[in-house]
Amino acid sequence: MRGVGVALGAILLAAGCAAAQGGPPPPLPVEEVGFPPVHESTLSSGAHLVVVPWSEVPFVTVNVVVPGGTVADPAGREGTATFVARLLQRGTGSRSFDEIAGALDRRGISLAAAAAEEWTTISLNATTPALDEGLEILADILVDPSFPDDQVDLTRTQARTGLQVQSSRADAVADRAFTRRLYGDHPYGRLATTTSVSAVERQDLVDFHRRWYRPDGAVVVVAGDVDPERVARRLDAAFRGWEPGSKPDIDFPRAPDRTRPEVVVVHRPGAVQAEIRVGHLLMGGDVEGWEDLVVANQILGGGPPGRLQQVLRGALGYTYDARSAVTRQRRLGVFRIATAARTEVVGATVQEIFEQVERLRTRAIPGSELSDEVAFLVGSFPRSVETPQQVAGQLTEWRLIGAPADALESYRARIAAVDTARARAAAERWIRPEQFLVVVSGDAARLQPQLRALGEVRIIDTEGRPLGLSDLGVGPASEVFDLSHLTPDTLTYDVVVGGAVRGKATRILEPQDGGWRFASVIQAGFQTLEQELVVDDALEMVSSRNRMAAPTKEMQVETRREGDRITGRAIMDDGPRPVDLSVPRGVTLSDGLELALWGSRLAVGREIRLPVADVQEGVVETVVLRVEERTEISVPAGTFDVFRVSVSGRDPQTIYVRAQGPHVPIRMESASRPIALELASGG
Amino acid sequence: MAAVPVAAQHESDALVVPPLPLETFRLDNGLRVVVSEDHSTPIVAVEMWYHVGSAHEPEGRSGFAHLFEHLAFEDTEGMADGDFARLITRAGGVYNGATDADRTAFHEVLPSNRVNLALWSHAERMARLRVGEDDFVTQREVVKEERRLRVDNQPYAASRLSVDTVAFRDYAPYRHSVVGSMDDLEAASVDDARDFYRDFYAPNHAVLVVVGDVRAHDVREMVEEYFGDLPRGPELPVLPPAPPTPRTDGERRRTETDRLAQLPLVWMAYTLPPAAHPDHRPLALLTQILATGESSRLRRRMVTEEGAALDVVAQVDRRTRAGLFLLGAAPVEGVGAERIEGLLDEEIARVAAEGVTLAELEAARNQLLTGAVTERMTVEGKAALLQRYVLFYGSPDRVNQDPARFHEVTSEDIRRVAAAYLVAANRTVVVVEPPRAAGDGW
Repeated sequence: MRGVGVALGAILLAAGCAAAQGGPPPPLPVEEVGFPPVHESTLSSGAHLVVVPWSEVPFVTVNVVVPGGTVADPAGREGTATFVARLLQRGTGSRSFDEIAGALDRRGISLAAAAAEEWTTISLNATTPALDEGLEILADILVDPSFPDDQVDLTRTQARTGLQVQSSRADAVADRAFTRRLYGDHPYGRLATTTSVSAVERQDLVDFHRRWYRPDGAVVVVAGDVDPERVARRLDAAFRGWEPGSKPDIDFPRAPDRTRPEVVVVHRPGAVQAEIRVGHLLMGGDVEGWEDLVVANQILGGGPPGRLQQVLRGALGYTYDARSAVTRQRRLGVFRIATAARTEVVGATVQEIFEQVERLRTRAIPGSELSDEVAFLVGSFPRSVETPQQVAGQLTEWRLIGAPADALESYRARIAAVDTARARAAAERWIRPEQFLVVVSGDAARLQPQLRALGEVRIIDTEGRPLGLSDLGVGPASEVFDLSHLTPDTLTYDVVVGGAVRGKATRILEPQDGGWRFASVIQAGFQTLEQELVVDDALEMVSSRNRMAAPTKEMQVETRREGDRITGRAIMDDGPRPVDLSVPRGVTLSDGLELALWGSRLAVGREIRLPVADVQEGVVETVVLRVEERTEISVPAGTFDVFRVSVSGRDPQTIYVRAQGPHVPIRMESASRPIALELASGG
Repeated sequence: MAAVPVAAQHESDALVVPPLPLETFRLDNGLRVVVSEDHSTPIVAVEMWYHVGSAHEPEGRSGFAHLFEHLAFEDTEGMADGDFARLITRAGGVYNGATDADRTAFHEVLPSNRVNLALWSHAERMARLRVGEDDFVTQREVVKEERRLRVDNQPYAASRLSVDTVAFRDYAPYRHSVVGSMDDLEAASVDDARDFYRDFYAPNHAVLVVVGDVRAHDVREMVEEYFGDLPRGPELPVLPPAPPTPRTDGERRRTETDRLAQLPLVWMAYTLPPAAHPDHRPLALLTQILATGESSRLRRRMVTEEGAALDVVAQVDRRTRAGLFLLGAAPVEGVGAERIEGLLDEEIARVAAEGVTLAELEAARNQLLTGAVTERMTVEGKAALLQRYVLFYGSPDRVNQDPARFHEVTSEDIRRVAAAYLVAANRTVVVVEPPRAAGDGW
């Protein structure tokens, strides 16, 4: 965007060097980024209005920012603010979900809402002729959402599924643990969990909306093809009836003050790769000298040319990617380094991170390194303010952290003014290794010895519960299995979801290579899950093949055990990645649990413990099978005398097996999801 | 009070897609150049399209255009290994490449004061690329892996290629896939690659589009400096025209088993005329009316009301010499392919008999015009749009008139194109079936 600009040419020309013969040409003089005047006013509802007129294309972005974000979630119901945001456009007092969706489709309008820590942003994108209708719908969903029960239920299910997916990813596990420990009791560290989102009720949403979706303290940012005065009038008309209210105070206790490094390991048994996060809190708001720190950070870990990547990937080969970032919000900011490394080099990686930080803080930065990074920051900035959406987004963000109105316009000049002395001084002042929080997710038994030189190593599980060193081992199976007396069999099951039959499943047991091939296929709706496990006669895994297929996506994992390692390849949405796990003797996969029961002698009260690998998530755990009672159940194949067996572990379930051996599975039900398999034929 | 004319009222509310300023010129060596100034943000999109794609590959050399796209990121005389990526990235820019049946595209977006870097690097790649044996072997393996990942290992991906194979069985240029066959890729040699480079990567087969905060005059000077001395490439045989559409020789049908598929899928593809044909305008509106948004005809009928399909899509695949109107639908469990075909036929017949409602027409027009506006919001979007115009129409001139012409399309136009093209004699049906499972046969 051009208007009044700030001359930069001289500064940057100095950074460009003359071209070698036949080499790339040197930079031309820099063109200016300018912004049209920003119009500020107060709407009659009390909301603050910021308008940036920009008429290149007939398109407008409106961001409405209301106070109240995740920090305002009721205790134990974390996730409420996000629910409210997601449900706004699912129905209002005067419009159904279908009516809203139909009107948006008809005019090519898009609406979205998301909760951040201290506020929630509702964004409207529309062409100029569709703006008035868009504003009416925007005002309606903002002021009068109805939170229909069925939509609340749907959102709760989606949120739970999303969190379950997250908890299976090593990087997300590390991120969540880092955030929690970093903020301590400060509400920025509050995160939704499957328990907290399950507790959210419709009334919580109504209350949250009534309290926080208020015009006092709200900011409306408009960028695009509008006349500032006309859009103010339209907003006043659309938002009539939006009344100020009294908002509760939120208590912001002090975040933890660290005076020495804190080390936390999130235990993922058997993992051979670890995710590493290192960092600490920074001051929040629009702090003096922020650009110096931005440049220093860019030198340390701004992508491939950054020092962390050059050293940890290039020189040492410990990792594929290592980056650092500085971010800031109204009250607090964060400095954070993120990387991943093989288990055996985690200690060395963390040590190298400390060394690179120290080098940045204490040694002079070469001039050419600084000018390259400054040129990158200055050069890439204009791409982030090209469209009205981007401009509105940037203005909103800068406004909310309390930056002055011209901060965006002068950003490039302020970056270009940073020199080597200022960048180094900023690193020394802001980045404090003695305050580092180090969070590593991986196999704690192998990580603890590497990390203890940094200080006491606290070990927790993925739920945040403390673990002792004695809890870490995954031992061999509690008994030796003998499957040699089994006979081949084919069983079919109905897949029952929420009480209705939604698919079919089969289990095929057949001899292979002196052991058994146990193939299972589940087809429900449009998805198919195929698993094939080959075991020897003692139930020990030989190889496996898992495949999940749907029309537009597919995941596939193939593995093989050799000695105390399971290796193979997983092809996920984001491409192939290797599987490599170290495992105890007698290891099997989750399907092997059924075989363990099938081939054992069972009686009420019996417990079987065995190591189970999850090859997709890359972890091993001890699973306990306990025969709880003898009872009778009816399934499509008939009524059976059964043992009810509880199955512990990451995916707890109940398996009913025939009481008379061989103990074939009659019914299997998940403890966490409303899904069950019921025997339909065979057995 | 004077009455306001209805037309004027309509005018004030109508979405006007803003015109793009255009400067075009051609160098003596045949390089065509389009510059569109946009001084709103100090960035520039530089996009080079070579008018060579999989359609130009001779028999036994499928996948070559795409393989060469990969090679064009390797060394040149002025840029050693990895320099291109490093130079563009360090300047604050981004880059990419893409290949389809008709063209191979290379583009960058970067600060406008580095437009010279982008232009220079394109000249390097056009004239001074080093096609080494090692790079060739490496990139051939990368492409083979890409084929394994994107085609051989994706449910239903092979069937989309089958649609082309069957629909264009009498038109060789469009019969094979862009990514090519494993055998052809394996048989390719570095000498083939060098010949291909010499013949096709020449100024007379390329179009350069520059959009952003630059002056057309300055761009022209730089283009003359970097490209002016490059020699013309050999003239190449012009592709023959595709057989006329709509075909009248009857429905073509193939049923195939996809080992990765778990449920059937139905493709219905109707051949269309070349991209420049005016019937593409009502056809574009028809795809919106049939399958964009929850209230579109096919979605409402097949997914919501009848619960017969999990998903349904409609799209037009436009190419320089022909096109396809493509419908795809995935039945829910227990619903057969015949039922899906029956429902698609019924809805098409309804359009062919009765046309569409004014409300549907207006919604479809709003969606397409909104798309036209957002496409023109970024320099990258505008550069690709102008390239498409040169490729399809031979010049970018119509780009500023075309959006408004959506207003001229009537319900009768849509009825007419549905009745003309979407008929059994002109279609290819590919039904994908999952493999029969061992055991009880479900």
